[in-house]
Amino acid sequence: MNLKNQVRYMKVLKTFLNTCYSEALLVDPTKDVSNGGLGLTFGFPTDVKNRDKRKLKLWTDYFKDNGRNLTLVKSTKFAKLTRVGLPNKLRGEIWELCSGAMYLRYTNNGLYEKLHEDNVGKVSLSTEEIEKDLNRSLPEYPAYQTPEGINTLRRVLTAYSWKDPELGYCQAMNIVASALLIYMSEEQTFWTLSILCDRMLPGYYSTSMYGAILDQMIFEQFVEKTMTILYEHFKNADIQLSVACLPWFLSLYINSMPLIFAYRVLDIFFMDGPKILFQIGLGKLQQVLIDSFIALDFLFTFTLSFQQLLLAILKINAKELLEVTDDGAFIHVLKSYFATLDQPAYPKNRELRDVNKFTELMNIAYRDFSSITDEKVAELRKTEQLKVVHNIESFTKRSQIRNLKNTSKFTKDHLSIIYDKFYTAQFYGSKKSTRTDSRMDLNTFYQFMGSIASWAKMDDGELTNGEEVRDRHGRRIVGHQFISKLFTHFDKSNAGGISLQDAVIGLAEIIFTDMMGTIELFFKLHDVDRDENLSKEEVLQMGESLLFICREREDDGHLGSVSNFIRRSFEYADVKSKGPEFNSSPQSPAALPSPTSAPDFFLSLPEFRMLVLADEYFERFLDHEFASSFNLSEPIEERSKGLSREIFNALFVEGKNLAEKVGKRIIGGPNHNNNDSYKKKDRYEEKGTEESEGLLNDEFTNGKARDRSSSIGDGEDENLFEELDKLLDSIEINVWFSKFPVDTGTSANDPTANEHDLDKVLAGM
Amino acid sequence: MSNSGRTITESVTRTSESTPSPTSAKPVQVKLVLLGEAAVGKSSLVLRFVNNEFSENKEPTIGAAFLTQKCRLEDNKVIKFEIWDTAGQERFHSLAPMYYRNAQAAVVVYDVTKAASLDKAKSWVKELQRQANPNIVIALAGNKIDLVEPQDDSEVLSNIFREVPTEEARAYALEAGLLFFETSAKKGEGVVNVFTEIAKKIPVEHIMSANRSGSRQNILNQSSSRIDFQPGGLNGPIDNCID
Repeated sequence: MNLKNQVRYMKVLKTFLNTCYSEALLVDPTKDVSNGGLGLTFGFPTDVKNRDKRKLKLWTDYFKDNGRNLTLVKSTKFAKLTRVGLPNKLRGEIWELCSGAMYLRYTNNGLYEKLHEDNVGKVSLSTEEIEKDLNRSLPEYPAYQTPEGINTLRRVLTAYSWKDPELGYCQAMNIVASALLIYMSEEQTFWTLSILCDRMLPGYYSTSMYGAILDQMIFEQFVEKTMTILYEHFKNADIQLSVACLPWFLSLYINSMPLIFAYRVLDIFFMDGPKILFQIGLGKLQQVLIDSFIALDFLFTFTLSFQQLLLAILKINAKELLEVTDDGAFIHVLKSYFATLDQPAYPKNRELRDVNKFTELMNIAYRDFSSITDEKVAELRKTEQLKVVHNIESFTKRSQIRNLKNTSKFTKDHLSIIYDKFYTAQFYGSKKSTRTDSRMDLNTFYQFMGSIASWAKMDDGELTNGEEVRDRHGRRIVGHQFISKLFTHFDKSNAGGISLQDAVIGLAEIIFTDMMGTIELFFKLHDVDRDENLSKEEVLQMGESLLFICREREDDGHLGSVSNFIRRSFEYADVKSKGPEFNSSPQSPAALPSPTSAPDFFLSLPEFRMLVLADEYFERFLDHEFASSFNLSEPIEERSKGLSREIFNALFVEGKNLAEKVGKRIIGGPNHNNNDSYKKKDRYEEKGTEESEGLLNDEFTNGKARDRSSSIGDGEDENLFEELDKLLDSIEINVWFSKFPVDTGTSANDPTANEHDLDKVLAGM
Repeated sequence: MSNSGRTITESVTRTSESTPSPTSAKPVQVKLVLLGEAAVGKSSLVLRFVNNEFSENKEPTIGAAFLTQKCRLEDNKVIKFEIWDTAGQERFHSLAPMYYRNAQAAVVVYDVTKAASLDKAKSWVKELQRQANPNIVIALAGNKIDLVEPQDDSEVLSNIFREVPTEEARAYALEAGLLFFETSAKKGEGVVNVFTEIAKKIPVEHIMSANRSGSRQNILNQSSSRIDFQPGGLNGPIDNCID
């Protein structure tokens, strides 16, 4: 069965082999390479002593004896041939072969082109960053002064950013890619870059660059162990190795050494590849190929890691380095050393006259630091990884929070929790996300909201089905669109995704608002067509949303309230559209629809406010329950107590106006009792707390309400008072509840929960 | 734009360092860091200052680059700037504290043709004011003014426009207590001035007396030990980033 699976690979084998220079080399060494790097057109950076022809001959012989490209077997001779420097025309192929990129290219035939087709015309943060650097990648090499060279580089880098949107593009990749492209075709470079980023230099180019920092740390440990005196000197002089060395690691020495030597380093560096590939395990075919590849006791001592190389560099320059007293001088010593790599290492020794400093460096790296094996590096990477990641994570978090332009009224702890929840959701959602920037897409937003508000929690699997969302018991959840409405609302810049800043502002708008604000928010969320009115359909959606949010409440109070709300809205609108005496009052701040407007025209904001406040349940819900359903795992900042006077006034005026217009028709009922309302007023006066006293005094004990209402036609007096009673009821509850915040049953305040989440994220990295 | 008697010694680079200066005064070392968004011209500014050179397509700085330049003050004291030119891309941000720790001066650069780069500059200033040496002298430099200056008749008018008005940036700099400059690394305008003005504001006497009294370490950084990536290392001086 496994064999059967491989059949498709065999079909493309012939075309694939045509892209390998080694094939041509065996048949006809003079034949042009069809699949090579820019160097074929624009020239290769070359040594004075160019021994390419001799090297090619040696390689041809090697291929004859040991197989070539996909079927090559490595021996110690292979390692020796590599150590003297690869011939230009073969260099790209040997790199991709050793790194394992060749197998990826072979088994992912066409993927590179497809990435371009799928993302044609798309723009992302990465593509913008890439554009900035295209003219700044090995600018002195002739190809990168032509559109051809620039386009090639652009295509490779953007393709990679589409392949791995999370990593995207990191400066230094441009330098690496531009250097590879001189010896490799676009597609070869692309796959080699993939291997580099994913396997050989894990985490080097990620957004946190934890890999590079990790290796830096490991490197310093090696220095401490192998060159203690030097290490102590650096420590005493406060010289930080990483300051100088990190750039070299990131750009694979390409920018620091003369190019010809940087390529020699790469030759040896890539030779190391398969081992790493072996560890990660690929598909069956690759496995078989690799098994044969390393079966013959290939001596790993011939491989050389960056660590070894840099240790040797330090050792060679130890005498001078012991005299430097600051970072600057440290860098200066090593820079001068790099600049003279081509010079004789032992100018006074005639016999060794031909040995240049680079050769000396290689020898010392192999001879003195062979104990620094890749296994050791890998092992240390594993043990130190979590610490580094954790440190970076907390650094990133602090700086991201610090860089928020608007933190609303959130405290440091709140922001920290929002950050954790935001990125936890992002982390788990990233696999499914189609976004290429750091913004959160809708599906992830569901998760994010679910982690903050218990009503927003839904089962993961069903979310992607869009309309048909079901709860854990398989019941269809009505009104889940509410969250997508919130998503649109949070996304102020219409970016189709939500940034951390958007989330902070959006949440603040919900949490730090008063009842009026919440009512307005609900109105806006449901006024899909933004006509300042809720249509019939929009009112129904509002009802669904309310049902949705309240769906897990113990009591069923919301059921009745929602149906009442809908019924009353319909009744009200019905009356409104029919009423002959219906006229917009000039004092009314609300632009009420004219009687001639479509019957579908329903509720304006003030009308909605009135209707929804007529219900105790919703009134309570909108005043604080909704806001406090957002659980930031800590007591939310004390909400301003009671209602401000302005709000009350506004409410009063609105209520009165509405009452004037439609009073009787909406609520008119036989059981109305005037005395009740006065009793209620009395109760207010007794309760007269510091918050409510003022407003009550003004509006009621002075009898102004009475006065104003008396200006309305006599017959409507009673209705007005009933309406006012309702409004008063709601205020009363308000005052009461804001004193005794109700536990809305959101998840328990567990401060460790977040830490736990973060740990999970870190562990996953 | 007054030089008021202070001049920059012509291209004193590290290589000529061993030559004693005429006054044979020991130069005062001043650590200066350059920060700012990618491709605003940080490296070009330094290159203009240090070597009086400009190259159109400068390779992006990876991690950071290090250069030095001396600057003679009117009282013949010599300041030696040790310049850390940092990488601009956002993901290099977490490395920045390594470079600005102990710095006595910072040049925060933006591109006058990119409004967003000023926002980034502001966030750098914010970070420096909270995390760096409390006495750090910060200069804000709006670079690439050559792109928005009236072109010579012979040149084709470009379609690049100024996005950051001088006055807006100046007002911000004033409010935040920064030195303010507009520069063109390409044409060399205003570049030297940035560094001479910084040199004037550096409390040279303080540094020198401190130099005499103790090791350099003690005076350069009141706040913290080295930042490294050992466990807990990054937590050091950055802890109080949110008020």
